[in-house]
This record gives sequence, structure tokens and C-alpha cells, in this order.
Amino acid sequence: MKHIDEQQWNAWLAERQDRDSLLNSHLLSCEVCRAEGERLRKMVADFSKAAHSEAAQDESFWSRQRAQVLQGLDEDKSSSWSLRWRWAVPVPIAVLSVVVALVLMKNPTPKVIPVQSSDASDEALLLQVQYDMYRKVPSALEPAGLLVQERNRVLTSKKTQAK
Amino acid sequence: MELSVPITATKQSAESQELAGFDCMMREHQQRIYRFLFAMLRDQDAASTLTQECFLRAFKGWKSFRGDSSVATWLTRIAVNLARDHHRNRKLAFWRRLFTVQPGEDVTVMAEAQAELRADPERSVLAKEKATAVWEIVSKLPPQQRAIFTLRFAEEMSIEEIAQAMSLQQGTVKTHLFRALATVRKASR
Repeated sequence: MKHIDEQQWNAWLAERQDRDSLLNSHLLSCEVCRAEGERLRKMVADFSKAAHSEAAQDESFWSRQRAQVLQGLDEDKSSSWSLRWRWAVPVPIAVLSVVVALVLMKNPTPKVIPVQSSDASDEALLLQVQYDMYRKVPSALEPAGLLVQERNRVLTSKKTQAK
Repeated sequence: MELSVPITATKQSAESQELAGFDCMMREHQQRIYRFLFAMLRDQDAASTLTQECFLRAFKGWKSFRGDSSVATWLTRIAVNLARDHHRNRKLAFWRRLFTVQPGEDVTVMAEAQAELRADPERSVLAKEKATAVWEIVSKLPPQQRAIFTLRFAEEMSIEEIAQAMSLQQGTVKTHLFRALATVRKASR
């Protein structure tokens, strides 16, 4: 009698074990294959049991984990809010700078006349003062001086006529 | 102003309802996801962290979940991707460490130290006491085969569900599962 081969065992384990009626009828009649089938069934059940027992935790572990997830959600929300508003400062600043640049480009500042050096102007003022000091009449009183000269000339001419 | 109060209240109650629903979903699937991740990584801390990450991602993607598969399959898909990324990062970290060995630090010494770290005596004794032989054999399978084997026999998912969760063809899942079974059968003899 032909025993179940590796491929058939894999299919038997991987898919539902009671689906293949041919294999099942063979298992009923063949003691060797039945023993192997039992061994494999136990092997898979052992794995499932081990996976459950190895990962077993008490209730406090699960509740702590849930709390951490909810806390993570809160942190995520606040960080996403700050990410959403992170443009709030740089964008208005950039817009403002562009507007200022445009305004400055449209109305350029008038050309500034170069101012004479302060040394030159000081020297000119000094010369003016010296010149004023050597004059008989200060420049501000020059018209009055002319009037006095005219009056003196008229008076001297009248005196000579009288003589 | 008068309108804003009820709108805020409605929004808050919708948010709390959403959170309550999410908490309920988490209670239902949390142990299964952790069990799968633990079977994949064999590290409690990493499995716990990735379980949390899995639910955080699930919450973010909740609106985009179209219901093409069950919630369990969808969560498993997220967990599978997380485990895959974790495995990849661990591999990268190993190579990064290997190539940034400080002068005077011998590679073999480093490997021995890592092996010692892994084989924490108390922990390994406890693990060996608890674990059955097949549990140990499965840990040596390649990640893809281990994931499929775990989902099929620990979580009792169908081939179709595993294919959906792992974004693979059913034929590919079967091939991996058959290979895993062949290895486990041989090793357990």
C-alpha cells in the first residue's frame, strides 16, 4: 500500500485536515500514516499552545498598552496641530518682506546730494568771519552805512556853499 | 458665538465616540496582534512597542479603511509590515555596527558579546521550560515562512486571509507554508 507523501501531508496540514476524503480513508486503514498524522496534528497544536502561552500577559499589561496607545494619539494630535500652524510665523514675514520690496521698487528714494565735507565748510565760515572783521561796517549794516555816507556828503556840500 | 457652543460639543462627543469605538476595537484585537508580533520577533519589548505602533497607524488610517477585508486582516497587514520593517532595520543596524567597529574592537569579540546578550541564562531556561520544541523550530524559519506558519497555525487564519494580510498570491502563501511545514516536520522527527 502506498503511504501519504510529503506533498500530500503538507496539503493536509495547510488546508483543512478533514477536507480530503481520500486521504482520510487512507488514514483510517493505514496505521503508519495515522500515527504520522497524529504526530503532525499534535505538532501544530503544540505550536499554537506555545504561541498562546508565550505571549500570555496579565490584564494590567493590556490596559497599560491601551493607555499608551491613547496617549500616543493625544500627542500625535497636538504635534499635528503644531505642524499645521508651523507656517503661521514665516509665511506672513515672507509676504510682508515681498510687499516692502515691491513698494521700495516702485518709489525709489530721491538722489541724495552729496554734502560737502565738513572741513571745507568750516574753512569757508572762518574766511567769512575774518573778512567781516576787516570790514568797517558789518555786512548786515551795510545799507545803513550807505545812508550815513550820503548824509555826510550832503552836509559837507552845504557847508562849502555857505562859505 | 451662540452657534459655536453646540458645534464644539457635537465635535467633542463625536471625537469621544470615535475613541470609545477605537478602544473597543483595540480590546478585541490587541492580544492577537501582540501574539503574532511576539512569535515573529521573540522579544516582549519590541512586540509591545510594535503593537502600540500598529494601533496608532490603524487609527490614522481608519478613515481610509474601505472594508475590503476584515478589520482583523487589515490589522494583521499593518503588523506584518511593521515586523518586516523591524527585521530590516535590525539587519541594517547589524551591518552598520559591523562597519563602524572601533579600532581595537574585534569583530569576533563583538559577535560573542551579542550572543551572550541574547542568551540571558535565566531567560533562556525559562523560555526553554515553557516553549515546546516546535516553537523553537519555527523561530529558525525565514521571516516570511515564520509569519505564514504563525498566522495559519497560531491564529488559524485561512490561506485567503493570509494572502490578503501579506499582499501575496494564494499560491505564493501555499508555497511558503509547504516549505515551512517540510522544515518543521523534518526538524521535529
